[in-house]
Amino acid sequence: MKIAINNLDDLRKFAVDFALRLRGGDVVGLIGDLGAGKTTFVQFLAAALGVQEEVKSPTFVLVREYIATEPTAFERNIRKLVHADAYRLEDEDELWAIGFADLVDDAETVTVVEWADRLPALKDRSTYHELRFEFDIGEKRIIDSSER
Amino acid sequence: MRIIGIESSCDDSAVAYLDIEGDQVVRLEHVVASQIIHHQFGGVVPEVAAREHSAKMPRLLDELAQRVMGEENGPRLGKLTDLICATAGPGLATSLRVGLDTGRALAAAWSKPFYAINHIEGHVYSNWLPGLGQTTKIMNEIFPALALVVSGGHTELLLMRDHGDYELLGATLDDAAGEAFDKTAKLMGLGYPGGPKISQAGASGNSRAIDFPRPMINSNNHNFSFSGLKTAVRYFIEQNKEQLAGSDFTSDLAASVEQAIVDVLVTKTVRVAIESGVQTVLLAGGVAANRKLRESLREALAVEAPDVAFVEPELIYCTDNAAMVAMAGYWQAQRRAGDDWRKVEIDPNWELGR
Ligand SMILES: Nc1ncnc2c1ncn2[C@@H]1O[C@H](COP(=O)(O)OP(=O)(O)OP(=O)(O)O)[C@@H](O)[C@H]1O
Ligand SMILES: [Mg+2]
Repeated sequence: MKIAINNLDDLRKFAVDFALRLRGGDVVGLIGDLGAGKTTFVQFLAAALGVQEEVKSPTFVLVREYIATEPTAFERNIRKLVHADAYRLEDEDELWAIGFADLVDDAETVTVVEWADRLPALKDRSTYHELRFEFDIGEKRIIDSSER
Repeated sequence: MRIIGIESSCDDSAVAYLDIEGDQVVRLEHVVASQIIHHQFGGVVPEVAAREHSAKMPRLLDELAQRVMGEENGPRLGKLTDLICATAGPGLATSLRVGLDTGRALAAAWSKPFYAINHIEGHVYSNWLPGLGQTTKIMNEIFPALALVVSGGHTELLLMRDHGDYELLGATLDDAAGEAFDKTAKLMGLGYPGGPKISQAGASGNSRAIDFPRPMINSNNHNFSFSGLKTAVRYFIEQNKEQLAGSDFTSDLAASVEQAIVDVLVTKTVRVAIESGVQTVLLAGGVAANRKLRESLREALAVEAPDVAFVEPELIYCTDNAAMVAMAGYWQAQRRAGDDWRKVEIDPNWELGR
């Protein structure tokens, strides 16, 4: 399903709506070129899950973990947000080698991965969901959301 | 006082030996094992796996012993050492654990005091490290100081009232300054690492040719935002594709991007320096190696805040290393007892001054 995003406010609304449909254990792959808005989307998503800290780009550190504090998220078994970024990875084993599976497997965690196309093993998971970010003109983006 | 420093918070594993007598650094040896950098994706660091750090750490310590004493003799190095420090955060949990566990294992085995060090504090203390062949860098009466820490993963403005007394005044809200260099370089097809590539490509360019946005440059808070630069550069390239083949055009483009990043860093740092009434501005982190940043910050301070001293780290200590960790540990040891190696833990989100 393709969703037209005209500006940041549209993106925020989309993220808030998306957050409401998440459950603990879900894995979300974000795909799109540099500056497409993956991190910006996660910032809105995190706020909707009640993350208190500022969400920054995880490119350098690869993985960041946040605590969810939104009571309605608790009802859907979400206690934690893991924000990962495969941009710097050359070999997908690297992320698994540092124990990434332990984070992703946690039933109370929602995992969001930027540059998920570099982590193809994610797709095998039954809880995997994918969002593709495409550039339109100016502030406009198109998000292609896989069926769930 | 003889100190062993250990660092493994992200990609690089490093160890150092620092001996300070009086105010003089009488000995400094440091060894860094950088991960091999591949160019395929324009900024990829492979083998970040913690097992790489674990595999390297014992060898690095052997190499350090060799350099300090001329022999790979661990027990003798232990007898020589007064205290051990290791980075505990911020960084990647699994990577941090290797350095911290190595450090506390040595502290336990050799029965030495142990200090868990914040990686950002380490960068700040790179300013205390003398250059090759020197024994001291005079750093008296510098407080209060403002430190700008800029690297691939960090962009932070810290008020330092005294040794160990920090207040975080501002930070990036999205991409770090070094990340902005890497990613815009990738968009321009300049390769990795972005900072040096952009400086090189832009050396002969006109840095005022293209007026890229300077996000948050006039905002009331002291935070930074660099993610918008990626989209600005992308759109600019799309609209001027035919010209990109010309080398003059590319050097103007690179110079303009560098200028945009440097302008934001310099403008905000100078403004905060004046507002907070500091005596000194310290620069630190991998991006501190950028010449335009060093020169612009020095010049802007000289004009707008002539009473404020400017200190920059030696180029070799800008990127991650363990000498800076040892120096931070030295100053910690001046004012507090060490951490209990039985209890100390990594802290991947450790924010200095908050
Ligand atoms: N409609 C929009 N959707 C998303 N981002 C937008 C939109 N309009 C403007 N932007 C801006 O575009 C930039 C997107 O940058 P962001 O860092 O989120 O991209 P990214 O996909 O995470 O890039 P990277 O590949 O570097 O991780 C931000 O500065 C954001 O404010
Ligand atoms: Mg991103």
